[in-house]
Amino acid sequence: MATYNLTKQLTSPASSSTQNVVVGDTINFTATMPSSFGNTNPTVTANPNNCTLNTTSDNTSPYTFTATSFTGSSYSVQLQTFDNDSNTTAYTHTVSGSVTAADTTPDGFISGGWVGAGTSLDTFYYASFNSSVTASTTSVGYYDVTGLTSGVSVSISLALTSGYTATDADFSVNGVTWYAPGTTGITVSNGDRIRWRVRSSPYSNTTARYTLTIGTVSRTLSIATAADRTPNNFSFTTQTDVNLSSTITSNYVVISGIDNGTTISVSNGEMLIGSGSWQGSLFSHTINNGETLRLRHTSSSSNSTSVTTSVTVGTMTRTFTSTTVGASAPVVNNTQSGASGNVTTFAPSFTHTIDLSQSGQGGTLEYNITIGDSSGGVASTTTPTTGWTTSPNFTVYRGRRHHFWARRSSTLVDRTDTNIYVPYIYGGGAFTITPSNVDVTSSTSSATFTINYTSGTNLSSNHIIDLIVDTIATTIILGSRTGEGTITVNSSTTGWPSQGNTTSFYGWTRLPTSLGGNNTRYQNTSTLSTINFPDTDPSNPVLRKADGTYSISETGASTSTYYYRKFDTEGISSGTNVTWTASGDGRLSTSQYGTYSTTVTRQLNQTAWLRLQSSANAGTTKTSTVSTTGASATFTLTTAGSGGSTGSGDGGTADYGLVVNNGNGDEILGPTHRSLGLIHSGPTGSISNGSSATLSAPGMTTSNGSEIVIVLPASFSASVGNNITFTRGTNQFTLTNNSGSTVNTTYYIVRA
Amino acid sequence: MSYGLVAYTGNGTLLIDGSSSSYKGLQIVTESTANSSSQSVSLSSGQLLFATRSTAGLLEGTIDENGGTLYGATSYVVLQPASSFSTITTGYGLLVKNASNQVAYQSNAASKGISIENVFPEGSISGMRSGWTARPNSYSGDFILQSTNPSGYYVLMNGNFYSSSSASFGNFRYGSNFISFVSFVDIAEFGAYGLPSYSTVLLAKLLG
Repeated sequence: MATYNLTKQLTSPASSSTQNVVVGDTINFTATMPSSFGNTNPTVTANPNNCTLNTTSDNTSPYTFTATSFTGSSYSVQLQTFDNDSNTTAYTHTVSGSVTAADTTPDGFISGGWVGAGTSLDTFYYASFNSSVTASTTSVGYYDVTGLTSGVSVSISLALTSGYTATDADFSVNGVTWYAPGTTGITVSNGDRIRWRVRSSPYSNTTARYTLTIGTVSRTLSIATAADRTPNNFSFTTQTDVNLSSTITSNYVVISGIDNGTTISVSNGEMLIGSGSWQGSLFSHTINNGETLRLRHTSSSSNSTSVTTSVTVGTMTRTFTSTTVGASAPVVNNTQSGASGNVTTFAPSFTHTIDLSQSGQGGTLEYNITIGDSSGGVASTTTPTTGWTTSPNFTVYRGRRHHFWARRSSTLVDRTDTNIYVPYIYGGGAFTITPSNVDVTSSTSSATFTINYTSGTNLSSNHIIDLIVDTIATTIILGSRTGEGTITVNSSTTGWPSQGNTTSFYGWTRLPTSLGGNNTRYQNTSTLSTINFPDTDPSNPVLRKADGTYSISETGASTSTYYYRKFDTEGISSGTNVTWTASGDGRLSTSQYGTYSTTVTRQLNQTAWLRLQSSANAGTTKTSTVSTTGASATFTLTTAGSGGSTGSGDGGTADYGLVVNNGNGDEILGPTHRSLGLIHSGPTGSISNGSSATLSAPGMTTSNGSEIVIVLPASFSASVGNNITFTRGTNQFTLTNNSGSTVNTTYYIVRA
Repeated sequence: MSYGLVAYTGNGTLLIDGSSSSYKGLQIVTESTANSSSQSVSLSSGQLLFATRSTAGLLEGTIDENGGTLYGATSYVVLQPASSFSTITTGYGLLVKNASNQVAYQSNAASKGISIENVFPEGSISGMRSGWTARPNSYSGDFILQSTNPSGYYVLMNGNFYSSSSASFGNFRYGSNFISFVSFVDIAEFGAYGLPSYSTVLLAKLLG
């Protein structure tokens, strides 16, 4: 600010002068009197306009006034004396001028900013206050305030620019104190030296920006740390023995430790970033922190050769390498399903799989087969010289053994290390037939059964199920169907039971040769099923005496004596109850000495007894009829006549020979039954394998079928049972041992 | 000229031979029901084992001189020489001794007798009929009883052998109206083969 010292002589008439000022300037006035002014004690007054005076009158020489606070566009100060003697205003001088505002804009500190890029982390950067060097880590830069109106002081302040990361920033004035952002009350004027610094962020890719304001001018300083383009270490696993000319894909890696947008490039392969698509080297790409990365390439078309793919993420380059497998013989592994290879195994189908586990080795894979003979002999293990083919379509044979071959070249050959047995394809398998029995009558025209396969069965929908009557000639087929379902057997079918009979049948399965089976029938393992035509009409009972003879009418009976006759219930179906009724004095019971009544209920082949007490009078007949619906038999019992002959009497029987009954009157030995008797027994002694022993057998002939030899080894095995034979001779037999080991046996000679 | 009680059946087969110095009738010493799954039977010297089953199915067993195990049987009887029974001196009945003064038959030793219904000499039947596969679950063997309900028919089990499903000698299958002979060996890879009867097969019923 300027100060003007003006000495002005007051004059009469009045005078004036000009002094322009700037707001803030000061004018010191000194008024002087002309020599003619005789008053020695005048009073000088001052009249301001658009300014302020420190006093408006002064009566002591020198007469001084100070004008400040100029306002408006012009001002004036009128200095004037008052003549005390004459009490008049006689001498005046007026100073006036223009009023100009003060300059508060420093020069060289223009509005704008500096940006520091690629700076170190967590480091002070000093503003250099020039346009070419934005910031420096050394405190060499400064700004000297200039351009202000002389004497004018302006404020200086530092603040974080909105939207940027706060770090550490401050400024100093004349190198005394570092003032933090927000410090108030600091002013500067021309000549003051300003330093300013901002600390960079401790994090990459982060900008700290502060604004320094001097007077009316602000300037910003941005310190931006560089983006991190060096990822944390990562690697791809090298792959070896990979197939030739195959797409080989690396393991996944997660890229970390970088800032988003890091450039990435791949060479000699492709890369997969995150969930994107496979990319090659044609376009530039970026990757963000935390994204996955995977590489791939096509393996070499040559054996034992490497292919390497490189990927560069920011500043780091890594590689992924695969090496193709060396050439070797293709491994022929055999797995077999659907059958155990045993010819006796039921199996509707089977599968052989040859696993060429090294098929990626390149070369031309060819296949071949060698087949054993029909007796199940092993297949040839000599490398075939013909028959190699790249498109195998071999015919295999049931009951034979097979080897499967593969080769990459004439010297790289492999085959199955065991014979593969192709089993017969059977028709066997389990199923159920429901219901297990159907009762029919004369009016029943059909019976329906349902075939359901058992869970896990080998049967297919192509298997034919035959219902075959369970008789000697198992050629009576009641019905057939293919696969599961119902079969209806008609009464017109051969084998349909007549009354009193039951047709029993089993389900058999077969698979036609046209469908890979052998068309041989195999019996189902389920229980027998039946069509039952019950017979409810019993045959006439046959009354029999203890000797088994048929008895209708007997004479010569003792008086008042119980006579027992037994009969069987025959001619009806099993399980059918028949109630027999005895007429007259006859009574019935289930056993000879049981409880008797007029009726008895019996079933098929069950015995009942008729008890009839003879008359108390001689020559008297009693009669009782045993009857039921459709059957009856009458027993007549006449006591012997008094004092007379009985006539023909019992008359004997047609039987002859020795009969032995048990206590119940039942025959346990008799001429109609062959019995058994032990004739001879003994040990054979040790018979070594391949040797024979001749042993005593009294009564033995070469053709005496009733003389029986029973050989009982001390212990049994399949080989013993299968390989010991005996040859009949006269009173002896020969035992031959081909069991493979020495045997000791006991033998019995039994006659029947 | 020999002496002693000799009886024949109507067909002329020997019933009792008291004139022989060695004949000893075989009479029932044990009659028992059997566990059809597995029944262990012990035999002493000279004892014969007959068994039956009441339902359709296989009747098999492995029986050596000391006995063994029956499979599928529901009843069985054991016969032993009459001389092995204690001689009963009271009551009534028939006691026959042979020429060696050994008991050849004693009627009150057993309440039941046995009737031999048929005899099949060794080699006369086979476990595989022509045109049939030889398998334990098929009716491949020759029949020893046909068109007749086999209920009550017993078969001689001595000398029979059964080993799982791979070998079975001298065994039987009971059907609804037959009994067939089951005898085969199953050699892995070569299949099953039916075998002829290597010993005499007896079919019997109980009397009494």
